Amino acid sequence: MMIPFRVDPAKSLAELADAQRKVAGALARLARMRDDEIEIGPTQKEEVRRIDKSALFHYALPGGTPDGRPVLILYALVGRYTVLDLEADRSLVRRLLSSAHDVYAVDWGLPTRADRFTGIDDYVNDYLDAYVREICRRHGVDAIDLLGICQGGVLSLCYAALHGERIRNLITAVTPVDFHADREDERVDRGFMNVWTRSMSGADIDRLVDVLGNVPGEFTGNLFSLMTPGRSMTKYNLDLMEAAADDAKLMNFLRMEKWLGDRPDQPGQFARQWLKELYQENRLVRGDFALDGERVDLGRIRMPVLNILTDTDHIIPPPMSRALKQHVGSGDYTELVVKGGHIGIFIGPRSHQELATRITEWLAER
Amino acid sequence: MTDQQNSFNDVFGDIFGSWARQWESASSQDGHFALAMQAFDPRRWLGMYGPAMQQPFDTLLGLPRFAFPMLDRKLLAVGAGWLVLLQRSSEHGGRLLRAWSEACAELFAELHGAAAKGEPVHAGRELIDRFITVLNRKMQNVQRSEEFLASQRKLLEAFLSSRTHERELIELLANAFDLPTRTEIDDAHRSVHDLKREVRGLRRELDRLRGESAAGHSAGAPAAAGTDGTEPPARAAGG
Repeated sequence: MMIPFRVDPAKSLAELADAQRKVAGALARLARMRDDEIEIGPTQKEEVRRIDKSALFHYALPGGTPDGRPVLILYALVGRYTVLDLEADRSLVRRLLSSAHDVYAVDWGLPTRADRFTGIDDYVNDYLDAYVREICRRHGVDAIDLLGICQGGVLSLCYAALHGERIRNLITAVTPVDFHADREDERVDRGFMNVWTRSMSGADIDRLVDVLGNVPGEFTGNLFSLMTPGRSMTKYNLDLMEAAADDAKLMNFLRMEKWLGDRPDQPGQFARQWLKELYQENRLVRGDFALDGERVDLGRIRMPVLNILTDTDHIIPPPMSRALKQHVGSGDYTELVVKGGHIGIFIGPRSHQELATRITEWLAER
Repeated sequence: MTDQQNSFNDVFGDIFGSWARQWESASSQDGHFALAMQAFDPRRWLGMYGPAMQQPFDTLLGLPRFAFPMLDRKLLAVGAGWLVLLQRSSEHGGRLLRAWSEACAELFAELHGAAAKGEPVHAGRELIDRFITVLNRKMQNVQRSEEFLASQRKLLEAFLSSRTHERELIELLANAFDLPTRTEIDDAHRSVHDLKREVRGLRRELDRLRGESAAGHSAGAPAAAGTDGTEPPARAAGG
């Protein structure tokens, strides 16, 4: 039988020596580092208000508090908001602050089993509403600018549809709207969450939530890992070895690890609505998604809307986000396609900068 | 042929016939030899938590119930749940293993193709990179297949069933020692959650009424404080 490769002994030995050198270097660097040195969320912030486990934070750059237009950032519940301020040089929060915005962000906290009955109704009509009112009160305004990301984008859409008078401009980023639109452009490397959720019945989701109470962060993390099987397999060997080639790269790697490891559980009722009513039944665009008995009608979103998406999003395939255009009632709708992945656009050295610039320009015109 | 030869042939025939019958019997589907050979069959290892081990649990759990608390039944249900979980886990593992094997086969086919074109792989890292690419493609396809998704669903269901049985057993013991159970704590959390929602709803309603009332009075009247402990609104924004 023919051997289908001809390994060059000299080249292979050189590779082996190089790999050994890298492993030794990585181990030496890792041994010198301590977890508390791996800081994320470095920008100074003040807790403005707290409700249950969630909190509203107000950011400030060193040397003064900005007094620009208030922008509230809502991140997803599936990860921590700290990714938006991962480090000083990769911080969307800092870029927006530099552009004279007064930046607030909601931390949804780390839900426990005690929060299993907290649903999207509570997040939108209680927590978010209270935080928006708080910012309005502090700034003496009737309405603020809202930036919702991923799940936070869906919460923002719901809020804007139900309490539109308090939102001046709405920005959504990598936000799922039509949860079945992945079928428009099916590709094996994206939209696995859609396929997985639809492979389950509504009763399966109910049972998952009834038994576990919340959907554990590790469970969601594993689903995300399944989306990129090759990457997941090489992460802690080849990728780590490459990253450990220098201190800065290794620190970036470890910051992301720290953020990923801080993945919150999804409150049971929230997950039930998210997976069943949105992912499976696609109610948001069907028009029968209701919070506290009131229908969420996207047609009632009449303020200016900026919808940011990326063509290479493997978690929220672009057609899911693009669908917003057909459903909002706003006459001022802008779609912005940026380069990068689902998370990459917020932390990429260039992409987060571009994102902040484009958001600032769009807001300045309104 | 002499009598001696005939006798030898008869004896040899008897021995050989007996041996052949033994071999035939042993190598039949239910024979000892076949059973022994099954021990070397990986499919047997993956299916070792199958019906044969499950049957005693099913039999015992199927017996008529009596009115007194059935600790033994709860214990058996936990054991049965674990077995099903192990079985499903093995089945799912088998599917993953098959996908890996197929990826290896695809890799070799690709390598042969490249070698035939005079472009063989020369280094280890290149080989690893090619394997990761092939495996990534394979797994992304396999994970979307009906068979794989069904297997994953069965595995999840087995885990949830097992977890439910464990909880029932623990709650039986907790009740016996007057300890609060998960179910009771969940009930309490539901009550607290419902009450919080009600209080917040009432606060909002009260703020709305106060706002309406304040708007009806003279513009110079002081605004009422928010019921949620916040300062009064700087401008009329509903609280």
